[in-house]
Amino acid sequence: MKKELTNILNDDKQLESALCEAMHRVGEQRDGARINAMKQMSEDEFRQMLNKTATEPVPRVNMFSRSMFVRAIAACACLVLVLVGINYIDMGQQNNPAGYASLFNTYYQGDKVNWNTFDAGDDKLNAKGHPSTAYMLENATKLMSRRDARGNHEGIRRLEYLLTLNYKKSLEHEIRWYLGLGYMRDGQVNKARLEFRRVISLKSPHTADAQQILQKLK
Amino acid sequence: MKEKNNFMPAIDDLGKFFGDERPKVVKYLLAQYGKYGFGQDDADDCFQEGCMAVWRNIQDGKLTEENLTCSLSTYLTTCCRNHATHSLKKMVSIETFEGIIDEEGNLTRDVPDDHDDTPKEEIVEILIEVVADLPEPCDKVLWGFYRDNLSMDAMAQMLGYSNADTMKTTKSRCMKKLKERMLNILKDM
Repeated sequence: MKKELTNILNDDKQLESALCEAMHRVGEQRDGARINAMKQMSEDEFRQMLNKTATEPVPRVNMFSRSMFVRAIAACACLVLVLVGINYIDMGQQNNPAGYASLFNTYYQGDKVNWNTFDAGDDKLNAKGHPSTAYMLENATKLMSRRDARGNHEGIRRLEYLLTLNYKKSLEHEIRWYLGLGYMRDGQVNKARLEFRRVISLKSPHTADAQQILQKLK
Repeated sequence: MKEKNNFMPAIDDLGKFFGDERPKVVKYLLAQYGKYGFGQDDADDCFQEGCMAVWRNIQDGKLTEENLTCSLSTYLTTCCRNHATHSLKKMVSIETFEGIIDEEGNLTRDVPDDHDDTPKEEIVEILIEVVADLPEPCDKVLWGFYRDNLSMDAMAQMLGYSNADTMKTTKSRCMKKLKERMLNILKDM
Protein backbone atom coordinates (compact mmCIF):
# COMPACT_ATOMS: atom_id res chain seq x y z
CA MET A 1 0.00 0.00 0.00
CA LYS A 2 2.83 2.38 0.94
CA LYS A 3 4.56 1.52 -2.29
CA GLU A 4 1.41 2.19 -4.32
CA LEU A 5 0.91 5.53 -2.63
CA THR A 6 4.53 6.47 -3.30
CA ASN A 7 4.15 5.42 -6.93
CA ILE A 8 1.02 7.46 -7.41
CA LEU A 9 2.68 10.54 -5.96
CA ASN A 10 5.37 10.25 -8.60
CA ASP A 11 2.96 9.68 -11.46
CA ASP A 12 0.78 12.72 -12.18
CA LYS A 13 -1.42 10.88 -14.68
CA GLN A 14 -2.23 8.12 -12.23
CA LEU A 15 -2.82 10.63 -9.45
CA GLU A 16 -5.22 12.62 -11.65
CA SER A 17 -7.08 9.46 -12.57
CA ALA A 18 -7.48 8.49 -8.90
CA LEU A 19 -8.43 12.05 -8.01
CA CYS A 20 -11.12 12.05 -10.69
CA GLU A 21 -12.50 8.78 -9.40
CA ALA A 22 -12.51 9.99 -5.79
CA MET A 23 -14.18 13.26 -6.68
CA HIS A 24 -16.80 11.58 -8.83
CA ARG A 25 -17.67 9.21 -6.01
CA VAL A 26 -17.90 11.95 -3.38
CA GLY A 27 -19.63 14.25 -5.85
CA GLU A 28 -22.19 11.67 -6.89
CA GLN A 29 -23.00 10.98 -3.26
CA ARG A 30 -23.40 14.66 -2.46
CA ASP A 31 -25.37 15.44 -5.64
CA GLY A 32 -27.63 12.44 -5.05
CA ALA A 33 -28.45 13.70 -1.57
CA ARG A 34 -29.11 17.18 -2.96
CA ILE A 35 -31.46 15.86 -5.64
CA ASN A 36 -33.36 13.86 -3.05
CA ALA A 37 -33.58 16.90 -0.78
CA MET A 38 -34.92 19.04 -3.63
CA LYS A 39 -37.39 16.33 -4.57
CA GLN A 40 -38.96 16.63 -1.14
CA MET A 41 -39.20 20.42 -1.15
CA SER A 42 -42.24 22.32 -2.28
CA GLU A 43 -41.79 25.22 -4.70
CA ASP A 44 -42.28 27.73 -1.89
CA GLU A 45 -39.79 26.00 0.36
CA PHE A 46 -37.26 25.86 -2.46
CA ARG A 47 -37.76 29.54 -3.34
CA GLN A 48 -37.42 30.47 0.32
CA MET A 49 -34.14 28.62 0.55
CA LEU A 50 -32.89 30.27 -2.65
CA ASN A 51 -33.78 33.71 -1.35
CA LYS A 52 -31.65 33.05 1.73
CA THR A 53 -28.64 32.44 -0.53
CA ALA A 54 -29.23 35.78 -2.24
CA THR A 55 -28.62 37.83 0.93
CA GLU A 56 -24.96 38.38 0.15
CA PRO A 57 -24.59 40.39 -3.06
CA VAL A 58 -21.96 39.44 -5.58
CA PRO A 59 -19.37 42.26 -5.69
CA ARG A 60 -20.41 44.89 -8.23
CA VAL A 61 -16.92 45.02 -9.67
CA ASN A 62 -17.96 42.04 -11.76
CA MET A 63 -20.55 44.15 -13.55
CA PHE A 64 -18.00 44.59 -16.26
CA SER A 65 -15.61 41.91 -17.34
CA ARG A 66 -12.08 41.51 -16.07
CA SER A 67 -10.65 42.37 -19.48
CA MET A 68 -12.57 45.65 -19.46
CA PHE A 69 -11.21 46.38 -15.99
CA VAL A 70 -7.65 45.75 -17.21
CA ARG A 71 -8.30 47.96 -20.24
CA ALA A 72 -9.61 50.74 -18.04
CA ILE A 73 -6.50 50.55 -15.83
CA ALA A 74 -4.26 50.56 -18.94
CA ALA A 75 -6.10 53.60 -20.32
CA CYS A 76 -5.64 55.45 -17.01
CA ALA A 77 -1.95 54.52 -16.97
CA CYS A 78 -1.53 55.85 -20.53
CA LEU A 79 -3.29 59.08 -19.60
CA VAL A 80 -1.01 59.54 -16.59
CA LEU A 81 2.06 58.85 -18.76
CA VAL A 82 0.93 61.40 -21.35
CA LEU A 83 0.30 64.00 -18.65
CA VAL A 84 3.65 63.29 -17.02
CA GLY A 85 5.33 63.50 -20.44
CA ILE A 86 3.75 66.87 -21.20
CA ASN A 87 4.68 68.11 -17.76
CA TYR A 88 8.22 66.81 -18.25
CA ILE A 89 8.64 68.76 -21.50
CA ASP A 90 7.10 71.86 -19.95
CA MET A 91 9.33 71.60 -16.90
CA GLY A 92 12.38 71.37 -19.12
CA GLN A 93 11.34 74.52 -20.89
CA GLN A 94 10.45 76.36 -17.69
CA ASN A 95 13.79 75.53 -16.03
CA ASN A 96 15.54 76.65 -19.12
CA PRO A 97 15.73 80.43 -19.16
CA ALA A 98 15.80 81.98 -22.60
CA GLY A 99 19.38 83.18 -22.00
CA TYR A 100 20.73 79.67 -21.62
CA ALA A 101 18.88 78.52 -24.72
CA SER A 102 20.33 81.34 -26.82
CA LEU A 103 23.82 80.65 -25.45
CA PHE A 104 23.40 77.01 -26.40
CA ASN A 105 22.35 77.98 -29.92
CA THR A 106 25.36 80.28 -30.24
CA TYR A 107 27.94 77.72 -29.22
CA TYR A 108 26.42 74.41 -30.27
CA GLN A 109 28.05 73.04 -33.42
CA GLY A 110 27.54 69.34 -32.95
CA ASP A 111 25.57 69.05 -36.17
CA LYS A 112 28.44 70.56 -38.19
CA VAL A 113 31.10 68.20 -36.94
CA ASN A 114 32.06 65.15 -38.98
CA TRP A 115 32.61 62.76 -36.13
CA ASN A 116 33.90 60.01 -38.45
CA THR A 117 37.18 61.82 -38.74
CA PHE A 118 37.73 61.31 -35.03
CA ASP A 119 37.63 57.53 -35.26
CA ALA A 120 39.38 56.85 -38.54
CA GLY A 121 38.83 53.44 -40.05
CA ASP A 122 35.80 52.44 -38.00
CA ASP A 123 32.83 54.73 -38.29
CA LYS A 124 30.43 52.99 -35.92
CA LEU A 125 32.11 50.14 -34.13
CA ASN A 126 35.59 50.13 -32.66
CA ALA A 127 38.10 47.29 -32.91
CA LYS A 128 36.34 45.38 -30.09
CA GLY A 129 32.96 45.61 -31.79
CA HIS A 130 31.61 48.23 -29.36
CA PRO A 131 30.12 51.52 -30.53
CA SER A 132 32.96 53.96 -31.01
CA THR A 133 33.26 57.06 -28.84
CA ALA A 134 32.81 59.26 -31.91
CA TYR A 135 29.64 57.38 -32.92
CA MET A 136 28.13 57.69 -29.46
CA LEU A 137 29.10 61.35 -29.31
CA GLU A 138 27.51 61.96 -32.70
CA ASN A 139 24.24 60.36 -31.60
CA ALA A 140 24.16 62.28 -28.33
CA THR A 141 24.80 65.62 -29.98
CA LYS A 142 22.17 64.89 -32.63
CA LEU A 143 19.66 64.38 -29.88
CA MET A 144 20.72 67.61 -28.19
CA SER A 145 20.20 69.56 -31.39
CA ARG A 146 16.49 68.83 -31.22
CA ARG A 147 14.25 71.65 -30.08
CA ASP A 148 12.55 69.79 -27.27
CA ALA A 149 13.95 69.45 -23.78
CA ARG A 150 13.51 65.70 -23.96
CA GLY A 151 16.11 65.34 -26.71
CA ASN A 152 18.52 67.43 -24.67
CA HIS A 153 17.93 65.28 -21.59
CA GLU A 154 18.50 62.10 -23.57
CA GLY A 155 21.69 63.58 -25.06
CA ILE A 156 22.95 64.46 -21.56
CA ARG A 157 22.12 60.98 -20.32
CA ARG A 158 24.07 59.37 -23.15
CA LEU A 159 27.10 61.60 -22.64
CA GLU A 160 27.07 60.89 -18.89
CA TYR A 161 26.93 57.20 -19.72
CA LEU A 162 29.76 57.55 -22.23
CA LEU A 163 31.96 58.98 -19.49
CA THR A 164 31.48 55.81 -17.46
CA LEU A 165 32.81 53.70 -20.36
CA ASN A 166 36.30 53.19 -21.67
CA TYR A 167 35.97 56.15 -24.01
CA LYS A 168 38.59 57.59 -26.32
CA LYS A 169 40.56 59.98 -24.10
CA SER A 170 41.38 62.33 -26.98
CA LEU A 171 37.66 63.02 -27.25
CA GLU A 172 37.06 63.72 -23.57
CA HIS A 173 37.14 67.48 -24.08
CA GLU A 174 34.40 67.12 -26.76
CA ILE A 175 32.25 64.98 -24.50
CA ARG A 176 32.59 67.47 -21.65
CA TRP A 177 32.04 70.46 -23.95
CA TYR A 178 28.72 69.14 -25.23
CA LEU A 179 27.77 67.90 -21.81
CA GLY A 180 28.39 71.44 -20.46
CA LEU A 181 26.25 72.91 -23.24
CA GLY A 182 23.49 70.41 -22.50
CA TYR A 183 23.57 71.20 -18.77
CA MET A 184 23.47 74.90 -19.52
CA ARG A 185 20.46 74.53 -21.81
CA ASP A 186 18.76 72.49 -19.12
CA GLY A 187 19.39 75.19 -16.51
CA GLN A 188 21.83 73.05 -14.51
CA VAL A 189 24.30 75.92 -14.30
CA ASN A 190 26.60 74.54 -11.59
CA LYS A 191 27.12 71.28 -13.45
CA ALA A 192 27.66 73.23 -16.67
CA ARG A 193 30.36 75.42 -15.03
CA LEU A 194 32.17 72.32 -13.81
CA GLU A 195 32.25 70.81 -17.29
CA PHE A 196 33.44 74.03 -18.92
CA ARG A 197 36.26 74.28 -16.37
CA ARG A 198 37.29 70.73 -17.26
CA VAL A 199 37.20 71.65 -20.97
CA ILE A 200 39.61 74.49 -20.23
CA SER A 201 41.88 72.24 -18.16
CA LEU A 202 42.00 69.74 -21.04
CA LYS A 203 43.31 72.51 -23.32
CA SER A 204 40.46 71.93 -25.74
CA PRO A 205 39.96 73.92 -28.95
CA HIS A 206 36.72 75.02 -27.19
CA THR A 207 38.71 76.68 -24.37
CA ALA A 208 38.03 80.23 -25.53
CA ASP A 209 34.32 79.54 -25.93
CA ALA A 210 34.20 77.83 -22.55
CA GLN A 211 35.82 80.83 -20.92
CA GLN A 212 33.34 83.17 -22.58
CA ILE A 213 30.40 81.12 -21.38
CA LEU A 214 31.82 80.96 -17.85
CA GLN A 215 32.00 84.77 -17.90
CA LYS A 216 28.37 84.97 -18.99
CA LEU A 217 27.22 82.44 -16.43
CA LYS A 218 28.60 84.44 -13.49
CA MET B 1 -43.00 16.13 8.58
CA LYS B 2 -40.88 13.57 10.37
CA GLU B 3 -39.47 12.46 7.03
CA LYS B 4 -38.51 16.03 6.18
CA ASN B 5 -36.69 16.49 9.48
CA ASN B 6 -34.45 13.58 8.53
CA PHE B 7 -33.41 15.58 5.50
CA MET B 8 -32.51 18.72 7.42
CA PRO B 9 -28.72 18.18 7.04
CA ALA B 10 -29.23 17.63 3.30
CA ILE B 11 -31.32 20.79 3.08
CA ASP B 12 -28.63 22.74 4.96
CA ASP B 13 -26.06 21.39 2.52
CA LEU B 14 -28.38 22.36 -0.32
CA GLY B 15 -28.49 25.94 0.95
CA LYS B 16 -24.71 26.00 1.11
CA PHE B 17 -24.48 24.46 -2.36
CA PHE B 18 -26.69 27.12 -3.97
CA GLY B 19 -25.00 29.82 -1.90
CA ASP B 20 -21.59 28.74 -3.26
CA GLU B 21 -22.86 28.31 -6.80
CA ARG B 22 -24.54 31.71 -6.99
CA PRO B 23 -21.42 33.96 -7.18
CA LYS B 24 -19.69 31.46 -9.49
CA VAL B 25 -22.59 31.35 -11.96
CA VAL B 26 -23.28 35.08 -11.78
CA LYS B 27 -19.62 35.89 -12.48
CA TYR B 28 -19.59 33.40 -15.33
CA LEU B 29 -22.73 34.82 -16.93
CA LEU B 30 -21.46 38.37 -16.60
CA ALA B 31 -18.15 37.40 -18.17
CA GLN B 32 -19.90 35.60 -21.03
CA TYR B 33 -22.77 37.97 -21.75
CA GLY B 34 -21.70 41.27 -20.18
CA LYS B 35 -20.66 42.47 -23.63
CA TYR B 36 -24.29 42.17 -24.78
CA GLY B 37 -25.47 44.49 -22.04
CA PHE B 38 -26.22 41.67 -19.64
CA GLY B 39 -26.09 43.15 -16.13
CA GLN B 40 -25.88 41.99 -12.53
CA ASP B 41 -29.66 41.94 -12.12
CA ASP B 42 -30.08 39.89 -15.31
CA ALA B 43 -27.48 37.40 -14.07
CA ASP B 44 -29.21 37.17 -10.69
CA ASP B 45 -32.54 36.52 -12.41
CA CYS B 46 -31.01 33.85 -14.64
CA PHE B 47 -29.48 32.12 -11.63
CA GLN B 48 -32.86 32.11 -9.90
CA GLU B 49 -34.60 30.78 -13.00
CA GLY B 50 -31.87 28.19 -13.57
CA CYS B 51 -32.32 26.91 -10.01
CA MET B 52 -36.06 26.72 -10.51
CA ALA B 53 -35.50 24.78 -13.75
CA VAL B 54 -33.37 22.26 -11.85
CA TRP B 55 -36.07 21.92 -9.19
CA ARG B 56 -38.80 21.49 -11.84
CA ASN B 57 -36.76 18.88 -13.75
CA ILE B 58 -36.34 16.91 -10.54
CA GLN B 59 -40.07 17.12 -9.79
CA ASP B 60 -40.91 16.05 -13.38
CA GLY B 61 -38.52 13.10 -13.14
CA LYS B 62 -36.30 14.38 -15.94
CA LEU B 63 -33.40 14.66 -13.54
CA THR B 64 -32.76 11.83 -11.11
CA GLU B 65 -29.83 10.66 -9.04
CA GLU B 66 -29.38 7.82 -11.52
CA ASN B 67 -29.44 9.71 -14.80
CA LEU B 68 -27.25 12.64 -13.72
CA THR B 69 -24.08 12.01 -15.68
CA CYS B 70 -22.37 15.32 -15.00
CA SER B 71 -22.05 17.16 -11.70
CA LEU B 72 -25.08 18.99 -10.33
CA SER B 73 -23.00 22.16 -10.48
CA THR B 74 -22.43 21.74 -14.23
CA TYR B 75 -26.10 20.93 -14.74
CA LEU B 76 -27.18 24.04 -12.84
CA THR B 77 -24.73 26.26 -14.74
CA THR B 78 -26.03 24.90 -18.02
CA CYS B 79 -29.64 25.62 -17.03
CA CYS B 80 -28.68 29.19 -16.06
CA ARG B 81 -26.75 29.65 -19.29
CA ASN B 82 -29.69 28.35 -21.35
CA HIS B 83 -31.95 30.82 -19.62
CA ALA B 84 -29.49 33.63 -20.29
CA THR B 85 -29.26 32.82 -24.01
CA HIS B 86 -33.06 32.67 -24.17
CA SER B 87 -33.39 36.04 -22.55
CA LEU B 88 -30.80 37.52 -24.88
CA LYS B 89 -32.38 35.85 -27.90
CA LYS B 90 -28.91 35.06 -29.08
CA MET B 91 -27.11 31.80 -29.29
CA VAL B 92 -23.63 32.02 -27.87
CA SER B 93 -21.52 28.94 -28.26
CA ILE B 94 -19.82 27.85 -25.09
CA GLU B 95 -17.81 24.73 -25.61
CA THR B 96 -17.63 23.69 -21.99
CA PHE B 97 -21.32 23.12 -21.45
CA GLU B 98 -22.55 22.71 -25.02
CA GLY B 99 -24.72 19.68 -25.50
CA ILE B 100 -24.71 18.23 -21.99
CA ILE B 101 -28.41 18.90 -21.58
CA ASP B 102 -30.99 20.19 -24.03
CA GLU B 103 -33.25 23.18 -23.48
CA GLU B 104 -35.86 20.96 -21.85
CA GLY B 105 -33.34 19.82 -19.28
CA ASN B 106 -32.90 16.30 -20.64
CA LEU B 107 -29.43 14.82 -20.58
CA THR B 108 -28.14 14.41 -24.11
CA ARG B 109 -24.78 12.79 -23.60
CA ASP B 110 -22.34 11.63 -21.02
CA VAL B 111 -19.60 13.92 -19.87
CA PRO B 112 -16.50 12.58 -21.62
CA ASP B 113 -14.22 10.60 -19.41
CA ASP B 114 -10.78 9.97 -20.86
CA HIS B 115 -9.27 8.42 -17.77
CA ASP B 116 -8.70 4.82 -18.76
CA ASP B 117 -6.52 3.71 -15.87
CA THR B 118 -8.52 2.18 -13.06
CA PRO B 119 -7.00 3.46 -9.84
CA LYS B 120 -6.47 1.18 -6.86
CA GLU B 121 -9.40 1.12 -4.48
CA GLU B 122 -7.29 1.92 -1.40
CA ILE B 123 -5.78 4.95 -3.08
CA VAL B 124 -9.22 6.20 -4.06
CA GLU B 125 -10.39 5.73 -0.45
CA ILE B 126 -7.49 7.86 0.80
CA LEU B 127 -8.19 10.50 -1.83
CA ILE B 128 -11.89 10.56 -0.91
CA GLU B 129 -10.85 11.68 2.59
CA VAL B 130 -8.42 14.25 1.22
CA VAL B 131 -10.76 15.80 -1.37
CA ALA B 132 -13.66 16.04 1.08
CA ASP B 133 -11.67 18.57 3.08
CA LEU B 134 -9.62 20.66 0.68
CA PRO B 135 -8.62 24.20 1.71
CA GLU B 136 -9.73 27.29 -0.24
CA PRO B 137 -9.25 27.99 -3.14
CA CYS B 138 -8.12 24.45 -4.00
CA ASP B 139 -11.54 23.22 -2.95
CA LYS B 140 -13.21 25.09 -5.82
CA VAL B 141 -10.34 24.76 -8.30
CA LEU B 142 -9.81 21.00 -8.11
CA TRP B 143 -13.52 20.20 -7.85
CA GLY B 144 -14.25 22.47 -10.80
CA PHE B 145 -11.57 20.84 -12.91
CA TYR B 146 -11.88 17.16 -12.01
CA ARG B 147 -15.53 16.86 -11.07
CA ASP B 148 -17.30 19.57 -13.06
CA ASN B 149 -15.06 19.17 -16.14
CA LEU B 150 -14.76 22.92 -16.49
CA SER B 151 -12.25 24.45 -18.87
CA MET B 152 -9.54 26.71 -17.44
CA ASP B 153 -11.20 29.71 -19.11
CA ALA B 154 -14.62 28.97 -17.61
CA MET B 155 -13.11 28.43 -14.17
CA ALA B 156 -11.13 31.66 -14.39
CA GLN B 157 -14.35 33.53 -15.15
CA MET B 158 -16.29 31.81 -12.40
CA LEU B 159 -13.68 32.17 -9.69
CA GLY B 160 -12.61 35.68 -10.65
CA TYR B 161 -9.09 34.92 -11.95
CA SER B 162 -7.60 37.16 -14.62
CA ASN B 163 -7.04 34.43 -17.23
CA ALA B 164 -6.60 30.72 -17.89
CA ASP B 165 -2.85 30.89 -17.27
CA THR B 166 -3.33 32.19 -13.73
CA MET B 167 -5.86 29.45 -13.24
CA LYS B 168 -3.36 26.84 -14.41
CA THR B 169 -0.76 28.14 -11.96
CA THR B 170 -3.26 27.98 -9.10
CA LYS B 171 -4.29 24.48 -10.10
CA SER B 172 -0.70 23.25 -10.11
CA ARG B 173 -0.16 24.80 -6.66
CA CYS B 174 -3.26 23.00 -5.45
CA MET B 175 -2.00 19.71 -6.83
CA LYS B 176 1.23 20.33 -4.93
CA LYS B 177 -0.75 20.86 -1.71
CA LEU B 178 -2.75 17.73 -2.38
CA LYS B 179 0.48 15.76 -2.79
CA GLU B 180 1.80 17.22 0.46
CA ARG B 181 -1.30 15.99 2.26
CA MET B 182 -0.90 12.58 0.75
CA LEU B 183 2.76 12.53 1.76
CA ASN B 184 1.72 13.25 5.35
CA ILE B 185 -0.69 10.32 5.20
CA LEU B 186 2.14 8.18 3.84
CA LYS B 187 4.38 9.19 6.75
CA ASP B 188 1.70 8.23 9.28
CA MET B 189 1.30 4.77 7.73
